[in-house]
Order: sequence, then structure tokens, then C-alpha cells
Amino acid sequence: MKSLLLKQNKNISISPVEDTQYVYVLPGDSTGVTNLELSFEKEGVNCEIVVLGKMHEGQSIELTTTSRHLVPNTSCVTNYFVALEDSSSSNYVGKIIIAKKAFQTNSYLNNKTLVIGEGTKNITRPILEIEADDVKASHGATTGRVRESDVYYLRSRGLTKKEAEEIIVEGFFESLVAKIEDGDVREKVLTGVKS
Amino acid sequence: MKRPLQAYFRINAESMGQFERTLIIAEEGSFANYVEGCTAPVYSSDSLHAAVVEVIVKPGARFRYTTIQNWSDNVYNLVTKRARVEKDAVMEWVDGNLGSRVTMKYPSCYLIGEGARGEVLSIAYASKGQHQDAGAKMIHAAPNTSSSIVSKSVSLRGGRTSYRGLVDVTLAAPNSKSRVECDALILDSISATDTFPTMRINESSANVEHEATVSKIGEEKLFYLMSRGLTENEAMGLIVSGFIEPIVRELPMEYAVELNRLIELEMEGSVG
Repeated sequence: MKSLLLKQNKNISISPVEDTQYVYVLPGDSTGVTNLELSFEKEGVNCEIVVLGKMHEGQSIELTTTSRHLVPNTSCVTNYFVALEDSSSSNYVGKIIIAKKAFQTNSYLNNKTLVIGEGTKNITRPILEIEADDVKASHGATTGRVRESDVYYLRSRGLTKKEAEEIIVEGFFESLVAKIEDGDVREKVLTGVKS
Repeated sequence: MKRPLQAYFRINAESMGQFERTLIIAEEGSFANYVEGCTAPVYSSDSLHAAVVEVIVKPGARFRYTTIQNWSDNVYNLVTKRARVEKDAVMEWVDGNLGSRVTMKYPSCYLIGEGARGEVLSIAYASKGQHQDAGAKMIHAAPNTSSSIVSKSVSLRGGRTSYRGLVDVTLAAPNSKSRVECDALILDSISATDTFPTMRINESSANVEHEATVSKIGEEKLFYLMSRGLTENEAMGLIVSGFIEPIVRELPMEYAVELNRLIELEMEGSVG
């Protein structure tokens, strides 16, 4: 599957014609993408959406992702991983829409929020609208904070609190970054999430 | 109290509007189970059942409110259910929706005392012409509160099920935990299902999980059961019973038997 790094753009709407992995790194403030929609109109296309990044102190993001399945036999995996620093917030809507004729669809959405700061806010609304029967659709969403015991362990090894948290955040994104098949894109994402 | 309190609602006239108001106060340290059932004969015109149920669960008490709703399919069932859950108290809503044309019902727990817990177990079953719009609301407003929502829905013959839920962790609720699980089963190509959960988390120490799946009955499961001599109908009935079993087993025995029988009846002739 080829990887494509999406550019900064408020609204992105794509109708994929070949198997593609769409990757987007959050800029950390509210200037980034707010709408990302994949509309499946060609049969047999499999895609992935990978959105990840850190929200900087006091910044907020509003994001809606949609995977709209209109024809049979398509699949989509949506991942939205966000880490929240002090007083930052994330307001996310993740939609999976499967139209009446779109049987044999396979769609999954995964949202993880890692709280690293204080005074954070997040709203998550994963939505499923399913009109066809022969499909698999699911979503999972979790919110949790960095475990004190993990930070403690790393600090006992001589790291500062800040370094320890950085490593934990890196590990949080690692599972997603590892899925990016294109080496170039992966490198760019790695530098992107560290900034 | 050892034995459940029971109530039964019936709509006995055409074009009727039934407005129910229930207030229950569970005293400190008490334990009780309240069970209600609803039915109505079929008339040619529509009826309305609008209810407000409030429960106050005092510190350390545990209260369970069980509903088996089997209105005829021309009843509009619009219900508000909420509970105030105080320190170390537990509130459980067990909600079975089989009947009615449209049901809109989202039992809620306001967890206002430290260590309070709220639980909702919900089954929705939507057949021809029905829309079961059910769900749950959990408002965490005190430290160390926890909640869990399990929702199972089945849609067939053009029915539609929706899960609509809210988990709200306010600033007053550090160290709160919540877990939501909703599974939907679609039995044919003309039925539909939606999931609309909201998680609003304003407290940085909260731990919130949500999971939902939608699927149809696996061919291989059907094939296996049929190879053991069951008809397709029996096999589907068995799979549906298994699907809702985690909730059915929480019901008093008579109700569990009744519910299984109702579903068997509803499932009859659903194949072919």
C-alpha cells in the first residue's frame, strides 16, 4: 500500500481509486485540517487514515474524519492518536457511514487520547451509521493519562521528568508510526510528532 | 429487600396517552430490585406512553431498576429515567426494549457522591416498522466514581436500532473510570443500525473506554449449528439468544425465561 502525506488544508475530501495510506501529522495548534473525508466510490479499494500528533499548551483542535462507503467491497481503518499537553483540548467526531448497497464493507476506527498535562479537555464522538447487513464495522475510543509508575521507573533510571514523558509519548505513537510502510513518509512523521 | 418490587403498565384504550410518574428513594444502605413490564393490545390508532422515573440512591445503597418493555407496535414510548447516586451507592438500570413503534429512552445516572457507581445494561430489538433509539447517560460529578454501559441491539425485517449515549466526566470528578460497550447485530439487508456516543472529558485523570461493533450472523456459525440438525430459524434464534445472554442472565429467572420466549416468537419466520 502506498503512503501519502497530506498537506495542511482545512478541508480534505478524497475519493480513493487505489489502496492508499493517508497520513496526517497535527501541527499542534488549531491551524490544521478540520475535515477529512474518504468517500469510497470504486469497488475493491482498501485505505487507511492515520492522524497523529501532540496538541501544544493551550491549543485546541476540532477534527472530523469520515469514511463513507458507497460501493461494495471496500475497507478502511481510521486511526486518530492525540497527546494533550497542559490546557489543550481535542474535539473529535469520527464517522463511519455504510450505504445500503455497500455490502462486504470492513471499516474500523480507533481513537486514543493520551493526557500528559493538566486541565485538558476532550470530546470524542465516534459515530456508526450502517444501512447494509453483510458488513463489519466497529470503533474503539480510549482516554487515559500517562501512568505515574511508568514515569517513576524511567526517572529511577536517571531521566528527567520531561525526558521520561517524551519517551512515553514516543512509545504511544510508535505503534502507528510502525504501520507507515513508506520509509520517507515515516521519517517525516517521526520528526513531525517530536516537534 | 429479598424479593423484587413489581409494577405492570398496560394501555387499555385506543388513542390513549399514558403519563407515568415514579419516584423511588432507596434509603441508606438498603438493597432493592424493582421490575416493570409494559404491554398493550393492538389498536388501529397510535398511543403514547410518556414516563418520568426518578430514583434517589442514598449513601451505600444499591438499587436495580429493571424494565421489560413490550408495547404493541403502535405505541410511541418516550421516557425520561434518571438517578441521583450518592456516596458509595450503586445504581443499575436494566433496560429491555422489544416493543413499541418508536422508543426514545436514555436512562441516566448522576454520580454526585464520592465512589458512586452507575451501570446500564440495555437490549434493543427492532423488527418491521420499529425504531429503538436507546442508550444511556453517565454524569460523573464526584471523585472516584465509575460507570459501565453495555448495550446490545438486534435489528431485522427493516427495523432500526440506535445507540445514543453520553459519558460526561466533569472537573469535580478526578480519578473516574468509565467503560462503554455496544454491539449491534443486523439480521437482513433491509435493516439498519446507528451508534452515536459522546464522551466529554474535562478532567485530566479520567480513564474512559468505548467500544462498538456491528456485524451480521456469521455464515460459519449458522452452518455449524445447521450441521448439528437445527433448522436455519432455530440456529438464528440460538445465536441471537447467545448474543443477548450477558444481559438476560441479570434478570430474575421468570423474566429471563419470558424474554427468551418473546424473542423466539419474534424470530419465527424471519428466514426466507
